[in-house]
Amino acid sequence: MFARLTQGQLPMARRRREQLLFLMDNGIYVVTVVLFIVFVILAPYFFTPRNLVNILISASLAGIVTAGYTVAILAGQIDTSTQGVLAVATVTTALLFEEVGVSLPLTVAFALLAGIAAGLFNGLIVVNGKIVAFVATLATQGVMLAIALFLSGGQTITIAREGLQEAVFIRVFGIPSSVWIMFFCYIVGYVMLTQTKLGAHIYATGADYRAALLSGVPVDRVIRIALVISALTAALTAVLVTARAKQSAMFGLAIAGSVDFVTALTAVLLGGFSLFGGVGRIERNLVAVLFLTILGNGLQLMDVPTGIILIVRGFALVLAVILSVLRARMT
Amino acid sequence: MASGSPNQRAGLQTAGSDSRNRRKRIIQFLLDNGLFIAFVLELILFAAAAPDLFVRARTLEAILRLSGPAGIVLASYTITLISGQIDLSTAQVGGMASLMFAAVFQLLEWPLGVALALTVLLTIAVGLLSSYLIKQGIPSFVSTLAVGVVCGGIGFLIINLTNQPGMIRLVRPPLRDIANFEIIGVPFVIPLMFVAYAIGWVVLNQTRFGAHIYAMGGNPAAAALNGINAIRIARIVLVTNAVITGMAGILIAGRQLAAQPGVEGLGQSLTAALFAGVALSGGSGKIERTLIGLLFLSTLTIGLGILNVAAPVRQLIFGSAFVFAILLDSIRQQLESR
Repeated sequence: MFARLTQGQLPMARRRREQLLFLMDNGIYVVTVVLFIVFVILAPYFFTPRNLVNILISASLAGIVTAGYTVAILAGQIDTSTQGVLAVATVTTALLFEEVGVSLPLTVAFALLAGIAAGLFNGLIVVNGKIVAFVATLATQGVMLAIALFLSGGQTITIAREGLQEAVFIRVFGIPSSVWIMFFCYIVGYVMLTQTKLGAHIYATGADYRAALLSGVPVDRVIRIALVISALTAALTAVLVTARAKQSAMFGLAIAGSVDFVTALTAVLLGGFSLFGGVGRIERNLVAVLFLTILGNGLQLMDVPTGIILIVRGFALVLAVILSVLRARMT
Repeated sequence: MASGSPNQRAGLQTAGSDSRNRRKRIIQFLLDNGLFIAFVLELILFAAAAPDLFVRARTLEAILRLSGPAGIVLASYTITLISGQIDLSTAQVGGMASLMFAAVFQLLEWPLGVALALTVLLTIAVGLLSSYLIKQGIPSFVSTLAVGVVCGGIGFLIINLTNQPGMIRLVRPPLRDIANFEIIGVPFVIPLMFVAYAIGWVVLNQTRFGAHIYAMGGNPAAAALNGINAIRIARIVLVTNAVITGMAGILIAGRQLAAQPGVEGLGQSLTAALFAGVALSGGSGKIERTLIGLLFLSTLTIGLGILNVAAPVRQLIFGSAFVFAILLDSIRQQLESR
């Protein structure tokens, strides 16, 4: 079903084609800036320091998880287990910090380790079980949710102990650290994808699995690494979400608001990625996440009903896909 | 494909290993029918664990009742998957349809027929929108996801516009009676589910359209070269799926006496179909298997409930059953292609 995307060529003069491509590739920057200006004019309280910081925090949570998700997509793996990893990591964080009383760095380390374990588990099923990532991760998500349920006993764990929220959202140059962490993730991602052999291997595996395999790319290892990265960023997001809410946010609702499958996917597509791997630039993704966050935030401040916000988001996704299809046809 | 192609069999026989051949065929048979075997084993296990509570008509009815509306959707969902399309909008379409119906029927107090007709029209429009996007070259995976988000939005919008607290209560008499309507002591949803599967089986196995669906899902390029109209099939399949999902949404809302955006039970269709070995990429899968898969999952739910198993354990059993099922299916496919 994935091959049906790239059929037909548009007859078009080469120069105009290049201009159009440039516009499509960088359109997201323009659109984001325009949207921002529109909300500055229309939405009350939008252009206040407090709200801008709010936008940045929301964007950082969605951004971190999307960064890892993008790496998986680039390797041709659609990872649907994000909610499961989030659940395991948020429960781990809350349990260790609150009930066991472990120190902060150790808590974070264990939460990230839980994420890595989840990613390895995904890799095991995908690579050794020879199962499409979409299906495999859908299945492993069930197991992860079960583990989170075991650990938490189905209860939301409230964190009364001081130190977690303060440490994670400490302000550096007036900007919460979660935003810095997001930038750090994107810089690491950018360097990894554009400057290292692993990055080239990830692109190659996503673009054409068989060709990569035949030319000696260790595809299985690449897929495993991509899935671990995806789970690791999800776990990192879980730590931040837990710290922000001061409780384990297990059953989707608290997390789903800022970080969900649809947002990640829309951001990926708006960033000019192909869903089938091998194409895309991670920095555009960051802008796409900002775009989506600004859109949601601005509409909310304008008192637009939830229904309409959802509809707008749906159409943003449609638009993103149409763009990505047009782009695939032209290249 | 119970036993490999004739060529394969001949090749193995010339190799002179008759017993190995037979063993391979036994393994193949076991893997092919693993779901049926697992279902029978499950029934035996539960019957042994709780003979007096599990083996009785009420438990059977509970299992079938649980399967009912989800099963009706799963029948058409299976066909959708086989045709190579995936529909990720099920939960939202069901919710939107039930809210639309509830707004017209309960709040405006229009007649039942009109409310049903309006809902059907709305769901047809949803199916047409999804297939239009697919026609534009957007894979169904994304187009239905987007349409699902929009439908969820419309559902919330209906709640906002009617000033209801998160849901619309559905208590107007005729619907309640219909949702709980019984034929010879059996809730009519149960026979309806079997009818839906029978129709689905006939369409897939006895008609040209069914052959086209398998061809479409198996190899779209070859199917298109043979003159099969891909868009037409996608449209028919997705519209049917949307309409049936909408109707099931109304049935569920009628039973719960309230319509809500997003119907939990309907979102599981994909899981159940994959569980029963329908390929995500289309072209393979058997509709009778998804029925068994659904019954297996419903029995598991009811059985574990009877045994009073704790929620985490239950979730773990479901999760590992799913992982196990797709692993077995992957082994089966590798053996088949060998």
